[in-house]
Amino acid sequence: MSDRGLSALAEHAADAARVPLFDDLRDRAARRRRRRRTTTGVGALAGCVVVAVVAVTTLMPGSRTTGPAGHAPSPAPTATSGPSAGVAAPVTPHSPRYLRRHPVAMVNQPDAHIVEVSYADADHATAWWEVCSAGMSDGGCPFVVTWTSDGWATSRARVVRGKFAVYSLADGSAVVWKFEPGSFVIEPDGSTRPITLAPSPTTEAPGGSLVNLASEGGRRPAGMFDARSATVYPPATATQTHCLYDDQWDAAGRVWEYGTARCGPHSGPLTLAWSDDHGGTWSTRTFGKSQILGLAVADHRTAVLLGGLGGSHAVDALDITSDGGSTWQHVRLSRSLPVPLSIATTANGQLFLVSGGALLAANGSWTSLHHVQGLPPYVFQVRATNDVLAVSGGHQSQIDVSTDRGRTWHTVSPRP
Amino acid sequence: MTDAEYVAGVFAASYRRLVGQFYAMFGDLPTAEELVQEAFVRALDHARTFRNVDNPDAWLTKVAINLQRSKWRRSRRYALLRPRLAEPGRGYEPPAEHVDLVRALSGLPVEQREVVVLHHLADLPVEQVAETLRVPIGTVKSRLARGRGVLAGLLDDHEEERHV
Repeated sequence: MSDRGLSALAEHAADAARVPLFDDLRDRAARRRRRRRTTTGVGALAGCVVVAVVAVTTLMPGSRTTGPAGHAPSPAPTATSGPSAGVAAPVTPHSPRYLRRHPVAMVNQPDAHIVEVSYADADHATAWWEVCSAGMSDGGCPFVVTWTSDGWATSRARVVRGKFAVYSLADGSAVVWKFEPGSFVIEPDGSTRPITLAPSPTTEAPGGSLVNLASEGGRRPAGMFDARSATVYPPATATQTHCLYDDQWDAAGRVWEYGTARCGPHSGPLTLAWSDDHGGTWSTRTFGKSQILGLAVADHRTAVLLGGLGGSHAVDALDITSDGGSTWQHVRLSRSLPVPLSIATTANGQLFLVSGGALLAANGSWTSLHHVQGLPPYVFQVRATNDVLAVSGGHQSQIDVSTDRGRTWHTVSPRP
Repeated sequence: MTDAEYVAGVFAASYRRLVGQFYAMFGDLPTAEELVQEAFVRALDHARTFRNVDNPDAWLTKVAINLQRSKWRRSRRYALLRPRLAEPGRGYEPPAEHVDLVRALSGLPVEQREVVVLHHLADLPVEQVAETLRVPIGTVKSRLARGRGVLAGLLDDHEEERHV
């Protein structure tokens, strides 16, 4: 859903833009290519000259400037610190240099905001923060992970670098899943250990213990990990969903997933696939021209797909099955809504989603949605784990927790 | 059609729109023009690769964002320059009805501005924004929500109705 005000602003600037001649750009590209070739030639010539000079000085008698054979040359004088060594920026309690070394102070900056929340149960939870204060984001905004074992009465913090996602384990530790090698577990005391990677798809019984790992923009498959042992399993994927967008395990062990056959260009249609034997055999379904914009699974019989026809940013229909995928009911919403940023299903099968900054809940038959009251505006994430429903966001980057399926909420602050 | 003719076609179709997009992102028209022009120069430089990309606009957007980031990194006065980048550009004033939006955008950290513009203006889905900016999807969602919160009332996707 494109924003009208933003579009009008951009269109006005576009109309005022100076349009260069395309030939000028082509000349620029050609000049650059010539310069590159010249620079390469000059560089090669300079390299030859340096090699020749070094060879001559080394081979000429009496040219050695070092001490007797076997002795290393004297080291250069060590630079001493002082005014001539450069002026370092002052380190104050609010300076980026100080904050980068003090994650608790960093999280308590007003510009720190929650990226992800994970609950293992009501006591054990993890929050992942991004801090984009002025001066902090040179080279990327730093990230901090906070974790608690007492429902955020107390918590600890640690800076984590690179791209990652965080999951909470019931023993109070936090899994930091990186998209490149280097995933690890932060123990409750702050020490770390490497994560265990299983060589083949799991044969363990899922249902609550296995948790989805984040995918990276549909480019890499998500994975699953056992939330008790922090063992990561590669995902079982169908041929049609090899480029996996999302996958979920329901309580009976069925894997539901959607994705495309290939990643990148010409990737094929988005397809829903489900398997009851850990990926041995698959059932699949595509949904015509409707795009799949989200998947929520209640149990192995009931699942709902969010779909949209009118562009990639609006959900205008739900496809619901209540017989394990044999038949599907197509329900058009009375009004389209922005693509949900987050979807969760509670243990009893109730669907919650965050759309347009508000939490919406589906009725029992999943055919209409209503706003959930008692939450701050601009929430962006909902997580459901066992009896805990956690919603994060708002102007204060807070977490609102409900243990009665969204009827009442209490606010916690995940800041140490 | 030669590779250069293909780039020329994309230039004719997309140049102004991309400049408008980068104006919304960085708040300065000459900067936006220079970034988009340079992205097209790079496209000409790698015309064969460019011709095979699935989404030329997304490719140009990614190149232009990387160019701007490199520029910032090189700049020793990055922290001082950065807040000024969001001010209305030299020689161009936005129309009166958009002043509030420009001011609100300039109040956002550039990371949030990037995702708001790419999602709401360039119409990229969250997954593609994540790929363009090379950040996890969760980060995009978080920045998007945060940006929307700051731009409350100025973006028109915040629904107030109670039932759907």
